[in-house]
Amino acid sequence: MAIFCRSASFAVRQAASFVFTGARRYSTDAHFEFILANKRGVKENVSLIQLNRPKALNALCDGLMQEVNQALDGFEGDSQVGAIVITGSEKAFAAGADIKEMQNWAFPACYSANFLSHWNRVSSARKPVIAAVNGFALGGGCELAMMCDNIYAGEKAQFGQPEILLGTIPGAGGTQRLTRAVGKSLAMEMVLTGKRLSAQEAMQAGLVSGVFPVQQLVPETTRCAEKIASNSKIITAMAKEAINAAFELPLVEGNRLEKRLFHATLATQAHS
Amino acid sequence: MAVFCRSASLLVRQATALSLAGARRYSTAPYQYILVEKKGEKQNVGFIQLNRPKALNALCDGLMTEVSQALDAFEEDSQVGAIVITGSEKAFAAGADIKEMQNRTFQECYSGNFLSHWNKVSTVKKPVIAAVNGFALGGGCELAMMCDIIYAGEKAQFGQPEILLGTIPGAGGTQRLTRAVGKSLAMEMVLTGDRVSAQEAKQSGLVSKVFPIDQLVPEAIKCGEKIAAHSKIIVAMGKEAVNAAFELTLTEGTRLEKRLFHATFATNDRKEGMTAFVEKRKASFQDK
Repeated sequence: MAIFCRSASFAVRQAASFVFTGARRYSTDAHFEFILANKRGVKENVSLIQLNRPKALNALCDGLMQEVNQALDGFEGDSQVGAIVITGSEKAFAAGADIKEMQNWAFPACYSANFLSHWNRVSSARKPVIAAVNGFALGGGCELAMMCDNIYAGEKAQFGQPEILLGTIPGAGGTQRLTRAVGKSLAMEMVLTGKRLSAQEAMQAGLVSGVFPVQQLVPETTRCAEKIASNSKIITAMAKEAINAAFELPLVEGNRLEKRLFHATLATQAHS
Repeated sequence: MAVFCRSASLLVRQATALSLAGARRYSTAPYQYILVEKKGEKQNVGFIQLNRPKALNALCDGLMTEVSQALDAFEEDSQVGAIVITGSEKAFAAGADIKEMQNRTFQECYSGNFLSHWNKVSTVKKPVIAAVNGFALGGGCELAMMCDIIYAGEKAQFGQPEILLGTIPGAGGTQRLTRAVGKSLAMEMVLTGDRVSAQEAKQSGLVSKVFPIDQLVPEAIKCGEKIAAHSKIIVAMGKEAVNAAFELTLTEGTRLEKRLFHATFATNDRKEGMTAFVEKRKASFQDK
């Protein structure tokens, strides 16, 4: 198991603007219970978060999501890291949320605790996050993948939002991101019947942008992440911000934001 | 021809919440332009078939009014969980009735809010599946796109040829088509009048499945049955959330989704569904 260790002083030296709590996460308890986190790539500029609850097919429990968030915080603050890959096992990226955990919740507790609110940490990451999906990405697992910027799938991957079969609906962005990715007819079919997509269907529908043999998925995704990490980090963050704005703003305002960001790139040394 | 007949007393017994006007819709004279019945093993799929064969199901005002009435009745019928709309093998609907609108003036259109009641399908809370064989052109394509899911027969053709008549789509075609297939293809279709085949429609995301012609309607009904087997209240919330993707920004859409998701925890069906999953048994939903 890969234990993520860095001495506190080294972390402080590396990034002057490093948030102190971020440094602590690196140097103190780097022993995660539900995930593995380490750095990859020739230049160690890609970080890999691997969901690691094999007996539960990586079902997303609260503890796992907390650890993913902690690992993300750490990598966001690490100036060496240019891109982040999230993956599961060969059998399952994440087969859903932990149903036993939420079985006995009632509405008042859900609303007051803003249940699932911290599950979208991935979507607020400023560095690019790529999902490498082998096997099942169902329910919360599919939603986690869709929060990422880019999805690569292994040949046997399956995507679905089967919450309706359990008498509930997606709660972590599934209805919003799936519809934007694959269109209304297919999204309605998946959400209302629980139907799954194969990797090839997901590629055709625009949900994922590459399909690879099972064994090659993580190496290929790491290679993609290395490509990204070789570019300017600040410019990469601006490009990602601009693309995400396409889902928040009308075209005219989105173009304005893009133009302001584009102008701002000329205030950096990256372009010269 | 399937004539939709039920005695009034059976109706009153079946659904006490059924409004008197709704009861009348079931029991009066058969529809003129459509056929209406319930399908599926459990009779839980509402079925509306456009029936103006000589006009290739061209959508006239009378037909759209009858479709609205049939939809209202199915919405109120607690047995019905999903609705299928289809045409004939030759045409889903080959357009709006041009003769009917030929001599309309702008003033009449504006004051009468022409076509405003044509989007009844898009306000229905129960899922609606369009089973499109043959032509879905102009208003026919728009009617299909108002539905939640489109299944196409192998020879289906989709198009928005209004430009050839000197007008533009008026019942959502420019909005729904563009969201479904992207700008380039939508502009091409709307500005040239060119059609796409069923296979092209699937590839571009407009329809989610293509079937052999004779299997289209049975498969659409099967899809309706799958949906109708779930909790009706939860299904309505799932549909509401997906549709919100076209009205809200991503941030606000996920907020609405989360509130609806939380709200499912106030239902019995959510508890039953998750408990059944944990206990490894089949769930028994009560639509509560």
